Amino acid sequence: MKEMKKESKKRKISWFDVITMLVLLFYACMLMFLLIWAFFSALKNGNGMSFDKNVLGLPEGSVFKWYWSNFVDVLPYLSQQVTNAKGEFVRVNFIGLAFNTLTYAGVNAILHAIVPCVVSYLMVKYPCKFSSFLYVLIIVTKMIPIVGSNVATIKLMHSLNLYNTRLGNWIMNFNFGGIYTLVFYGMFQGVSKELWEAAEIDGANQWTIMVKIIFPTMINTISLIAMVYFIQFWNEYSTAMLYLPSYPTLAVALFQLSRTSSLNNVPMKLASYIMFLLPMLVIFLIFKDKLMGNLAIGGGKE
Amino acid sequence: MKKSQVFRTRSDLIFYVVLMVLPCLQFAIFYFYVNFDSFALAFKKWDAIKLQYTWDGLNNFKNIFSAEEFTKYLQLAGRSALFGCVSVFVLTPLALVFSFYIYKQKRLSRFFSTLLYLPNIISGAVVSFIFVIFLDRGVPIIVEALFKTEIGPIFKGDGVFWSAFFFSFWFSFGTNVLMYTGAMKKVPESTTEAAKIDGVSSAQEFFMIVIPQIFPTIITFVVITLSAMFTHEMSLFSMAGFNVMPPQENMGYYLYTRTYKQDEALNPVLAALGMVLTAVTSVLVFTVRGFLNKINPMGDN
Repeated sequence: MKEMKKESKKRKISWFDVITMLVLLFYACMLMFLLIWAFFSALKNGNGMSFDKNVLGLPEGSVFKWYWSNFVDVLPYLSQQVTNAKGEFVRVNFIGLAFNTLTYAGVNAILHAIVPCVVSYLMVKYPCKFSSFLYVLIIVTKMIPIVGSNVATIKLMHSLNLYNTRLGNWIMNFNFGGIYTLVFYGMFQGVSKELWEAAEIDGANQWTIMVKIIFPTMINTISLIAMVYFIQFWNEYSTAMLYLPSYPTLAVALFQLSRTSSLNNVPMKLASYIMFLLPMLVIFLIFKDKLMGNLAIGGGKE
Repeated sequence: MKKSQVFRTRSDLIFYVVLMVLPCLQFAIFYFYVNFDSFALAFKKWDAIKLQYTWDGLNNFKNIFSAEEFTKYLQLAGRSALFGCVSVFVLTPLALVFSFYIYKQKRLSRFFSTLLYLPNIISGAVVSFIFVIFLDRGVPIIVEALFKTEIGPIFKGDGVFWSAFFFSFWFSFGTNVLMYTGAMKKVPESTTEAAKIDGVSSAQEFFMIVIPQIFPTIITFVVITLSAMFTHEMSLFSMAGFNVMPPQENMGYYLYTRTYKQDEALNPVLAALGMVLTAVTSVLVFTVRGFLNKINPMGDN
């Protein structure tokens, strides 16, 4: 009996499993090492050649002598000089950057969750020819890879006087062409028709049925998708730079900081990067299970 | 369902129309009009005197296919295609193998799942900033300590392209693994249980049960990878800004940086280039999709 148990244990741990585990461990360690190294390096002295003399080691001295001030001292370097709508040069400080980031990520995340939800609800509730046409359209447009449409989009935004405006950016994101429309579509199809019918019999109008009866059953999915998009918009900078040059976000400021020679203090730069990553890490730690479950409904970065 | 039964009352129809009109209008403008305009722009040129775009026929396409320019675009596309091919032929099989490990809930799979999800949460751009600093400052020290060899800064010359190449795979690897793990979890338990009873080995289970079951997902991700091949700038812009030299650029980087400059004279050429790439990508995507559907062990998807 003992030998059988040993044998079955041996069978469970094959050489292939060991190699796979080691490779995954190596990958995980690489990722963790980079982030941990960045955190400890952010606490080093970046003046002169100090950092170059201690690139890989821990910060010198006791914890209280580490350069915690780097996290504060770097903030003025994040500020961005931009041209406002009147053509005047203005400086956007850290507070302004944070405000821009929250409005950019927050509003766009809500739009990317609500608009597909409403459209897919209408497609399921009213399965007319137009709804069928929309469904096919969403799938077909997802299949056709369009390259290089940014030029035409920018041209359109200029002609509508919406380029470099928050409203213009929100209108751009008021769309339902993403994968989550199909996810919502599948979920609404699973909603019991009795729920609708019971509400109608009780005299509820269509708006009440949608907002107060059906959508609450989807609130977890809606908020999860909004969170996924919030994280995506918080992190990205290339679209914000392209379409909102006068409203730089924190990610844009960090990109500019990475390219600037006005700050040669590497630990301070690393401090700004760590500060930017922290909110998302906190969100991840709190909502880990829900976010990771998102992959089961076709989530992940688009 | 009869048409009359879809909208039982007039208020149903008004409700549908009122809520649909704005999203549909947005879609019509920002998808159809934009792509139509991009299509039209490809046949125009910027008139610096009249300050407007004027008809130019096929000159932009002739420019793209001229000897000098075509070589340049071919090299850009080639670097992007290299990334696409490695993603499909190297990263995908590797991701499948590692996903299977996590799917079978082997040792430390929960820990790996959590760590591998991190790239979905943290900014790839910011991690690339950190990566460049470590590459230039930290890696030479490690190499010197291990191999007693002095190497200079890595992130210059050819090193820029290959560093970005490595980083893009390294950072996206975790997401790919977890995507396939998610798909593998949908394999019916009854199927795997029956296979276990029949004494099927892990390798047999992987190749004969799991891969066929998740083949539609594999097709989807391969198609998505190929679709984005020419727009993926491989973190080059994050890591090097506008300072990437032409021999290091790929198509995604070229398109983004030239679009960013908003040069009216160049815009029609970019639009024409986009059209050509859309055509090439569409043919490639539909061909690959068709081929994969043909070899789908579970039948056509």
